[in-house]
Amino acid sequence: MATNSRSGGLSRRGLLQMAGVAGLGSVLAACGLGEGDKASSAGGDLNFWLTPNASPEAMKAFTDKMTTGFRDVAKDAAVSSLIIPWDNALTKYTAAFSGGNPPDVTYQIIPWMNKWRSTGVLADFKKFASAEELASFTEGQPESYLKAATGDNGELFAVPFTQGFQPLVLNLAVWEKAGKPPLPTTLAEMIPFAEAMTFDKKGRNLKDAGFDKNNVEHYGMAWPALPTFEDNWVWQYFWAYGSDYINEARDDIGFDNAAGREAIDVMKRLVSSGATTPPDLYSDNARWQTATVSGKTGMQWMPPLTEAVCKQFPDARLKVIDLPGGPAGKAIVAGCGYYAMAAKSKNPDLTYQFAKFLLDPKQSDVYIRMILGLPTRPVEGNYYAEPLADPRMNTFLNEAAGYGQHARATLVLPYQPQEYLLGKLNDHLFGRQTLDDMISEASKGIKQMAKTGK
Amino acid sequence: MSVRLVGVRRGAEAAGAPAGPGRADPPVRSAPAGTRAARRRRAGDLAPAGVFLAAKAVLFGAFMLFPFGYTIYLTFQRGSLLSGLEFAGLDNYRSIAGDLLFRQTLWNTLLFMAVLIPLTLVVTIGVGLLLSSKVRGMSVYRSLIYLPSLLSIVVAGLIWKMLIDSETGPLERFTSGVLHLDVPWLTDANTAIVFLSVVTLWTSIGFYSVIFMSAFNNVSEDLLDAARIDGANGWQTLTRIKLPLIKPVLQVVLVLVTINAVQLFDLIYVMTQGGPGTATYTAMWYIYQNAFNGGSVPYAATMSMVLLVVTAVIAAIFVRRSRGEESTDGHA
Repeated sequence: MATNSRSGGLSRRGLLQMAGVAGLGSVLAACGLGEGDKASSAGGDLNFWLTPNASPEAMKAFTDKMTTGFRDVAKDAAVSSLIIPWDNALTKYTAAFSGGNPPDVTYQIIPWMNKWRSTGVLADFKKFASAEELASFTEGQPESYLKAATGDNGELFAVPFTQGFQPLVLNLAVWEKAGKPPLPTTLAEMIPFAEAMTFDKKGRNLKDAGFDKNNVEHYGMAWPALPTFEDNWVWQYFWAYGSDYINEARDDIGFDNAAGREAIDVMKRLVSSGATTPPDLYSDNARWQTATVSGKTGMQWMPPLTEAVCKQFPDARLKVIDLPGGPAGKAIVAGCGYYAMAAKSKNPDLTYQFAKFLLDPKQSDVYIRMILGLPTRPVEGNYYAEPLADPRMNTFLNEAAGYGQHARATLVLPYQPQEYLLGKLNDHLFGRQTLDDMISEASKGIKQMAKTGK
Repeated sequence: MSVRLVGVRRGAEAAGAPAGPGRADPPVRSAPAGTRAARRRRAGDLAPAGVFLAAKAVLFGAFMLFPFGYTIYLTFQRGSLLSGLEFAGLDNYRSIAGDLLFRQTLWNTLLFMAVLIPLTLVVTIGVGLLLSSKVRGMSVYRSLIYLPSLLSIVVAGLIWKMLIDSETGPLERFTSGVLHLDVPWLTDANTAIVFLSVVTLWTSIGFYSVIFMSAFNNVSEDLLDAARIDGANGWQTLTRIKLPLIKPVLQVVLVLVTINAVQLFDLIYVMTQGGPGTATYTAMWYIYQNAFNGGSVPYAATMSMVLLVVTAVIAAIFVRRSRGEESTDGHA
């Protein structure tokens, strides 16, 4: 055996040693010791990361348009775009920013800005922009959006450019079946309004004798008791009643007061009326989002109509209702989209040029229209004047634009209390805890979060 | 001489060397032990093993030892990974001691364990017993039982969520339409925990049943025959012969199910998001929220360590109790 091995020029031991060394080498290589490729091609390259707010085809068309368009500004620049799925976007952003090779320009939202604001991973626009440019970035922007992007020392870490919210939408067929009851102008009036639009399969109204709650044809209102959905509209109940979900000192809940309790009472009366959907009506998000379009519910806080939804429900007739308010006025929970630059960008000046290019209204409008959003600044006339795939989309978006004046961003905090608070609120709304017990526990939970989030 | 060679072979097998039919015993070296040549030869013999061990050590160090050590390090820090960390001493541990929410999530986890562990043991022992019986087509049944274990937990969660959909879910239609039962699958705190346990069991039934099946198959036929001759019925054979004999396997499964229950996360992510309300806010869910949803990573790391200790203590109790019973049985 030994002779054979030697005659082949390689002993068994030698072969094993070589294999071992090769294996070790591949392990070390796989452990990320190969940064050379990136560094050598860094020249005029930029990385642009964003999340998928439209179909993959539309996102690709947008990024292609931006990258080719930017070549008119910077000839030698090559922009690589990466669409990061929402589910793991924050994790990937975190990994990239904490590593040494962050994406130069990124799309950001308020919850993420809360995370980056004090970490120094984002560049300050004020260091790059002239006074005129800075004014173009900030003038006319809602205060809460700018605040979310402003650092402790007044830095501007991101520029807001698009906003979105979920307006209250009415299914006209259900409304007509209910005899066209007067549209609600307050959050409290939504309760009898929802009751009037609740019918069982035999056509009996919720208030009629013999109403069969196990065979409901239309519910008055959709109320999916999942944080993913509720995060888009529960907070406005507090704001409309003059309270907030976190106190001013940012270290406790903000609704342990008369106004906050009243807001919770209105929500409780609504979900206990029998006029809202059971929390387990649907197992998938898409059906929740189309509950009113499909006619299963009379109204809901709803995301913008898309082409696919219009195709799915060609006969649905919808109307955006004027935002109902409370004793303290009107407010709608709004999401805001920003562009930000990485502090550790290898090409800071080119990065700024690209961010400025993206924020130019001509370019940012392309993005806003693609995602069916609205600009953060007030719009004169119909923003969606050009026909979209379905005229109902134009009507929906133009009617919803009026909500912009009441848009309010969620709070600027070093911790994220929303999901936990929605869980606690649901504990009370769906009968698992008394109001006092819920408030007491929520308060302790938030104090703990504030303490550890510092 | 032959005794020494057998000893050498056993040693090699114990170290994991293959003991295939064509493998020859190593030749006996003629050089006297302790000479320089012999030492060099021995070092040469060990070199390939050293290289492979180094690879293993690197992998183990990079993916096990370092993350574990770093987690312990994080528990004594405050701040964030992005803005920098600073030494916090035992502050995180003190905070956990006063964290009512963490206590509540531990309680929810214990509730889940209290449902899942007995349910899993009873069902998988039963299925394992059935799988160990000699029935025609048993290999098909085994494959079918094992199928759910091949699915990812996320897929399993989505499948079950569709089954209980109020409008189109077949399971919901059956319970409400045929049985006239209004089951609040995921909308009632207690039902939600039971339902999550059932889905967890469904995803692991194949794995644990196959373990029990092989344990039952290893029970000596002689013992079973002797029991039958002595007049033992099926139940007595199971409780007096089979179960005591598979106790070591039972103990392993118990520890595995406990760890599985403590680590419950994926199903909650897919099916309940901690709801209804905060009823399924388990410790792992709370840790996830803290680490990745705007909380504090060092604090999440500290909770992970506490959870590790809790799991280890529970597992140790099971093991100790089982050993105690074994020694009592031995004395008897």
